[in-house]
Parts: sequence; structure tokens; C-alpha cells
Amino acid sequence: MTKIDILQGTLDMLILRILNQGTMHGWGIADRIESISESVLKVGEGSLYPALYRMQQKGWIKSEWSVSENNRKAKFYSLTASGRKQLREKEKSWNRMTGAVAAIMQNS
Amino acid sequence: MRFFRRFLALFQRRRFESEMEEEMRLHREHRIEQAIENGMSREEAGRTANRKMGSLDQAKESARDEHGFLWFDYLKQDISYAWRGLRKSPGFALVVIFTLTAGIGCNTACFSLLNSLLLRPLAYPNADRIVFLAESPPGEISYDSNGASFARWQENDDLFEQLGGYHLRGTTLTGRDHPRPVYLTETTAGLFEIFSARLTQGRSFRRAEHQPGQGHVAVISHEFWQQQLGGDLDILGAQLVFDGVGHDVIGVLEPRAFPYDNAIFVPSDVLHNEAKRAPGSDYDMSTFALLNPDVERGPAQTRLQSMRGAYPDSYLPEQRNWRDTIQSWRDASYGTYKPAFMMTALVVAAILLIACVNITNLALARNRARSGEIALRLALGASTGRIVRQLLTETMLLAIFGGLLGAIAGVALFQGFIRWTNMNTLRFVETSLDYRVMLFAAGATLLAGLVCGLLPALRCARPGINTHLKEGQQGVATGKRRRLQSGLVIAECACTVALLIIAVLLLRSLQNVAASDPGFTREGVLYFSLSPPAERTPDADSSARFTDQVVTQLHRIPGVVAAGATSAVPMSKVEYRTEAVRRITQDPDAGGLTVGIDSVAPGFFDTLQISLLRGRTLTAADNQSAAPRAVLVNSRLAELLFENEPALGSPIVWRGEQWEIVGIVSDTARYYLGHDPIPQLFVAQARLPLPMSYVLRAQVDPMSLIKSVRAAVEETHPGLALTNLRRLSDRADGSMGLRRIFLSTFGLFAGVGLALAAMGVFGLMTYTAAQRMREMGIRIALGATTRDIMNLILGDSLRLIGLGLLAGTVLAAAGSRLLQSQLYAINNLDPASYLLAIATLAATGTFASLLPAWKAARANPVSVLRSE
Repeated sequence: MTKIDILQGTLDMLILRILNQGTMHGWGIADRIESISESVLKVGEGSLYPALYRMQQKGWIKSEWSVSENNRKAKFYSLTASGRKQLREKEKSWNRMTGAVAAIMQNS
Repeated sequence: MRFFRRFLALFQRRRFESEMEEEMRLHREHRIEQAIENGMSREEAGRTANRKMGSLDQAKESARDEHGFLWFDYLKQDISYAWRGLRKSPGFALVVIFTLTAGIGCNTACFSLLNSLLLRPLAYPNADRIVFLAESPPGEISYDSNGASFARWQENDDLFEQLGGYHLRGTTLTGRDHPRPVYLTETTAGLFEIFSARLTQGRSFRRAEHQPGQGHVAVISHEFWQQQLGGDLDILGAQLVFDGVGHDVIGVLEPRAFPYDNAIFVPSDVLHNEAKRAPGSDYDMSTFALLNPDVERGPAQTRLQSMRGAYPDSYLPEQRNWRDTIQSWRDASYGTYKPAFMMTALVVAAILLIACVNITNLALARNRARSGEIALRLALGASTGRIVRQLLTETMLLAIFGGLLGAIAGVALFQGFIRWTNMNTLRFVETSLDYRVMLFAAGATLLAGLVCGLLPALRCARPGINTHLKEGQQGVATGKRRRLQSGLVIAECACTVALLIIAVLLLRSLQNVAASDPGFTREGVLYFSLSPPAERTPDADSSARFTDQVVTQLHRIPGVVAAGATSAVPMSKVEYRTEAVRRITQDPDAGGLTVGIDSVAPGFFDTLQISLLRGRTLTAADNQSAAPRAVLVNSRLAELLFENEPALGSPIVWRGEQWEIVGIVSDTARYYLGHDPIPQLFVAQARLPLPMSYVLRAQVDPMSLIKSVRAAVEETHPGLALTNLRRLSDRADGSMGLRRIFLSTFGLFAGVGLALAAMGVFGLMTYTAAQRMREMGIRIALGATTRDIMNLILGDSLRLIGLGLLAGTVLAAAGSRLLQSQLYAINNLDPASYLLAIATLAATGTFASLLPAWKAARANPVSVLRSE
């Protein structure tokens, strides 16, 4: 398994996408990214929490202490309206970029 | 918004830290549980979890950065580092703080003065709309108006919300314990309203009381009530007797209700009294107005001027070319001093500049000494910005200390200045502490700190570490750096020598004024005022007789050599009259020459020893109301009006009538020492009855004769009080008071500048000499003597100072042109003064360089070269 460095903006987009499907706590988000990508993408704490705090400062997500599924205390994050807007925009630019890369790879 | 959040976040720091701890801990536990579920043992799970967590501290640091705490952490680090560094170099810190205290202190004091006088609203409501009206001769602004002009200015309701004025009359208050001399303020309607003056008791004047004969009432000031009437609680309805007529006290003003210290107000009947409203009437007034809210001074003045043209009967024909002027209250009060204030402001700004130059140089030198350490830090990964911020913090810390002390010193200096110059008697100027002054001090401190700190910090934090590390601690001073520092010292010397030159010019000017000949004798002369009661002097002849009696009595006092009387003793603060005269051959419509008019009784010229140049003086024969019209003029008037023709015997037109010039007297300085003589006309008292002042000259100190003088007056006219009893020499000295204040202030600032410049030269020379130690070591090893080395270093220093002197002299030559009006009998380019100032700075600078030069010359070449 290789660890691929994910660009900061891309990580933000992934986090927003996952939160779009529902509230989640920090390690839950990391788990989810790892499991959906079949362990291709692993997010360390050094990347995850700064990203979460940054997005919280920008007002894209908000947090709340609550109790998790196994009766543990955890900080839950959820999307805000502006976060949803950000997600859509990031998705658009991501698609544009990957489309461009694919076009070059196929045609040159 | 981000900054706001970040700022708020500071306060939530603790909660954030604990929450982050908690979150990370939970995450770690989760990982461990996951691992256990996958079959690992607890310890192995723990190890794996640790590995997968990555660097926890770095994660926390990044998180903190995102949250915005780092800049605050850095600031705390910078401050504590700077504090430690400064404690290790207390000398540097103290010098900088002291220098800044001096610079910011001077500036704060000066700004406080300008603020109180020019920026802050005056202490009365609507003060910005209060104006002062006057009739001014061509080419100057005066402060006089009279009954005629006051009447002419009525009926201007669209310009003025209120219009009011007052006339001062000296008289004696009787009917209380003892007769007391007082000044009555005859007030028109509208005056109290202009200053929003309110009463604590009683009422103000009614319309009817402004009619002739109906005004036997008085309003008194709070201060007069308390101090002179004992705060009598029953004061309303009490009688004050002036001129033998009882006036009922009908009201008491609030403290400081009126901006000047007038004590007793009676209603004026000027608008209903033909004699007082006649053109050229002697009813002098000071007129104020409250402009309507949307009226500007300029257009209002134009309107008054055009009205003047429409009412030629309200002024004398000779005053046809005079103008009606409207001045703001501020300008009328101290407008003439504005150039002096501005000049002082420039001066103190120059001092702050010098101070900053010194500090910058010191900081440059200090940073040079630490360049090795800084280079190392840069090599280890510190960003340039971080280093600059840290160096700057050090300077800012010093600046804040210096600025704080400077602000306190400046405020104290300002308050001291107020007491010294009695400025607190100007009731309408606020001298209390103002937020603007604090703001200024803070701003100046910040600016000084940035200016002094930024340059050295930027200089120091350059990359190029190799050079730094290789050079080591001592090397040859790089050319560029030396040029910068030299340039700064040159600038410093230039500013200082400019200040010194101006200070010397002012000093010599003052000396010239003090030694100037005012045209009359000051020593041994006493003067005083005496107001005869109106019932004893109903007409001009009786006034003349009254005066004669007093003068005769004065002559009888042993020790008195001469005695006389006049309406205005030179340099006393009595009201001066200015009117216009013309030659008989001149066209009346062309306007006349503005002259000072004095009424004299025989003996005046003799007493003051004013020489008679031609003709004769006025005698007792002229002192009759029916005598032929004869006047005396001074030589200035003769020059101006008659030029090369003889003035003696010629007719002159004054107040529409012809008068003969029977004598010419020498010029005198009328207002203050050093004043250019103005053309003057002298008339016998019987022809121009005015309140008189009596002068006497004695062989002994005139103050020893006071008792005899009082006795003499008491004998002839019992029950009258003498006022303004003074020595003329004291008054003459006092007339230079303002000059002295200006000079002392300037001298103080120039002295501060000199001290700072000396420090600057000393600092630079020490630093340069230290930098060139290696070079000096080599020279000495090769055979240079102590003298050679000293000459070398002194030579460099003199070169710098010389350039500074040159620049400063040019600066002073240009700047002193502005000062020319203040300089008496001395050219603004006076060589002797310039030389004195230049020599002072050159000597100080050389002296300051001696020690560093000597130390360099005494360096042991072996130890210097070995330390490399």
C-alpha cells in the first residue's frame, strides 16, 4: 500500500463530501476515507485536524460535542450552507482538472 | 472577518487546547481498539497507533497555526527575547529611552500648545461663529471700533445672529468701605448672548435700560462678587456708587461667564446717544458678533465694506480708505503669533528627527555586533520576516518606554509653560489634558519606533550568510553601511547647526532690543492713572485744571525733578488711539496718514526727556479749550507727511479742522522696546480731554516716593484712588516679555538638539573606530604615532561635521528669512551669529570625537591583530 500525498484542497473536498452524507466525528472521517478508497488514501492526524480547524475557521463546517455510537464522547462535524456551496465549486474544478489531464493522457 | 475570529480565538485558547487534547486522545484510542479488533495485542496496538498517528506535536502545532494562535506565541517570544537582550545592554537601552523621551517630550509639549490654541474648540458655545469686528487702517488689522461704526453695523440680521460690544471707562467706586478704582464695562444689548453668558442671580439688562439716563443698574461678575464684595448673599438690590450716582445690582454672572476679567457691567446707551455715535467719536468700543450658521466671514466682510461706502457720514473723511474687518475670535486673540507657533513646531520636529537618527545609528551598530548570531539563525531556517519582526520588537519596546516617559514629560512641560506665561488667564483657551495630545504622542512614538527600527532590522536580516559568517565579529566596516551612517550624522549636524544659528540670531536680536533707545528716559520715572469724578470735570477746561493741580502738587514732592501728564504713557497698556490726518493740500477723499494721537499736559516731554527738535512745546496757554489750534508732531510724521518740505508752521487737517504744527519732537518707541516709531500727533489736553496718566521723574528710586505721591494726590483731591502705579523701566523691560519667552523656548530646544547631536557624533565615532580597530592595529604596527591615528580619525569626523555645517547653514539661511520680522537690528544672514553657531557645533563635535580617537590610537596592535 502506498501512501499518496493528497493536496490540501483535495483533502478539503473529500472531507466536505463525506460530511455531506451526514454528521461525523474526526476519526470517523479518516476511517471512511480509508475504507472507501480501499486503503489507497490514508489521512494522518497531522493533515486531518488542521484541515478540519481551517474549514471551521472559514465557516464551511461546524462542530458539536456529542456521544458516539459506542457511547464515547466525540466532537461531531457537520456541513454548513456555505460548506455545501464550497463542495459544489470544488467538485466542478476537480472535474475540469481531471478531464483535462485525461484528455492529454489519451491524445498525446 | 477572519482576523476578528482569530482575535476572539485568543480568548478561547484554553478551551481549544483541552478540546484538541481530548479529540486527539480519543482518536488514538479508537485506533488502538481497531487494531485490537484486528487481532493485535494491546502493546502492539499501542505501538502501531503511535506510528500511525504521526508526529502528534507537529499536528498540534499545525492545528494551532490554523486556529490562529501562532502569531501571538511569536509575539510573546519576541518580547521576552527583546527584554532579555535589552537587559544585557542597559547602556544602549537607557540612551535610546532618554533620547526618545527628549524628542517625544518636546513634540508633545509643542503639540499641546498648538492643540489648545488652534485645534480644540474654544471654551464657549458656538465659539467658531464668534467674530471680532473692527475698522482698520490700510495695510493692517486693528481692533478698534467706535460708536459710529457700531451704529453703522446694526440692521444686519441676515449676517449676524447677535451683535454686541463694550466700552471701558475708568472710574472710582464709592459708597463701600473705601473708594476703589474700577473699570466699568458699558455693554450693549447682544454682548452677553454672544458668549452665552448666564446669570446665577437676578437678570440682565432690559431694553429700556439702554436709554440715556435709564441705565443706573449694574451686573457684576462672579469673581468680583466673591472677591471684592465679600460674596454678600444679599447683593441683589445693593447699591454701587460710581460718579456719585447709585447703581442697583440687578444680576450676578456665572463664574467665567464672560471670557475676559471685566468685573462690572452697566448698560450702554450708545445707540440712542448722538454724541457717542458721531463720526470720529471718542466712544471706543470692542465689537463682537455671532455669525449666522451658514454665513462665511469673507462674504460678510465684503457686505460690511460695501455698507461702509453707503454711509460716508459715519466716519471721518480721512478714514475713507479704512476698511471694516471681521476676524475670527481666535485670529483676533493670537493670530499674529501663528508664524511663531509654526516655526516652533518645525523646530521640535527637527529635534525628533535628530533623535531618530541617533537611535537608528545606535541600532545599526548594535545589530552589526550580532550579525554572526543572526546569520546562524537564518542558516537554520528562520525566515527573514521573523528576524525582522524580532529586531523590530526590540526597538518598539524601547520606543514604548521612551514614548510613555516623553508623553508625561511633554504634558508636564506644557503645564509649566502655561503657568510661566500666565496663559491660564485666557479663559477661553482650554489647557486641560486632551485626547488629541495622547493620540499624537502615541502616533509619534509608533512612527519613531518604526522609523528607527525598520532600517536597521532590514539591513541586518539580509541573506548572504557566507559573508557574515566569514567576516566574523570584527571586520572592516563595509562601505555602504558606513556611508549610510555617515549620511545620518551629517543630517543630524545640519539640523542642529540650523537650530543653533536661529537661536543665536534671536538672542542677539533680544540684546539689541534691550539696548535700543526708545527715545525717552526710562530710569527714575514713575507713572500712574487717576480718574477724576465726572461731576468735578464737566468740561475740557475743568479737566485741564484738574490735571494741572495734580501735576503742580507732584512737582512739590522733594526729589521730583519733573512731572507731567499724557493720555498714553509709552509702553504702558493704556488704550492707544489711532486716527487719520492729512495735509491741507491733499484731497480729502484720498484718505489720510494713520497716526497715533496723544493728549498731553505741559511738562510731559520734559519729564520723559523727549527732545524738542524744532519749534516749541505746548504750553499752558495752549491748554485752553478756546486756544488757537496747535499741535506737535514727531519727526516720523513730518517725514511721512511732508517729506522734504518743512513741517513747522504748516497746517494739518485733523477731524475735519485745520491745526498748526508748532513744534517737532523726536521719535519714541510707543508700544514696546524695539518697535519702529509710528507717526504721532500731540494735542493739548483741553482740546482733547481723555483719561490722563501722570508721569514724574525723580533723582531717587521713584518707588520710594509712593507714599508722598499718594499724599500729594490726597491733598488736592481727597477720596480718589491711584491705579496702575508703576516704574517705567519695569514696563519697558516687560514689553520684551514675549520675545524673551520665544527665545527661551527656542534656546531650550536648540540646547536639546545640540546635546543629541553631540551624542550622535560620539556614538558614530566610537562605532567607526571600533570597526577599524584592525586597520588601526596595522597602522600602529607599521609605525604610526598616537598623533597620526588621532589626526586620521578626527579628520574623518571633521569632514562629516563640516558637510553637516554646510548643509545646515544653507538650511538656516533659507529658514531665517521667515523669521526676519522677529529680528531687531540684525540681518537674518548676520555673519557673526552664523560663525558663533558653527563654531559651537564644530567644537562640540570635535570634543565628542576626541575620546574615541584617543582610544583607537592607544590600541595595542598585537592584541588587536591577534583577536582576528
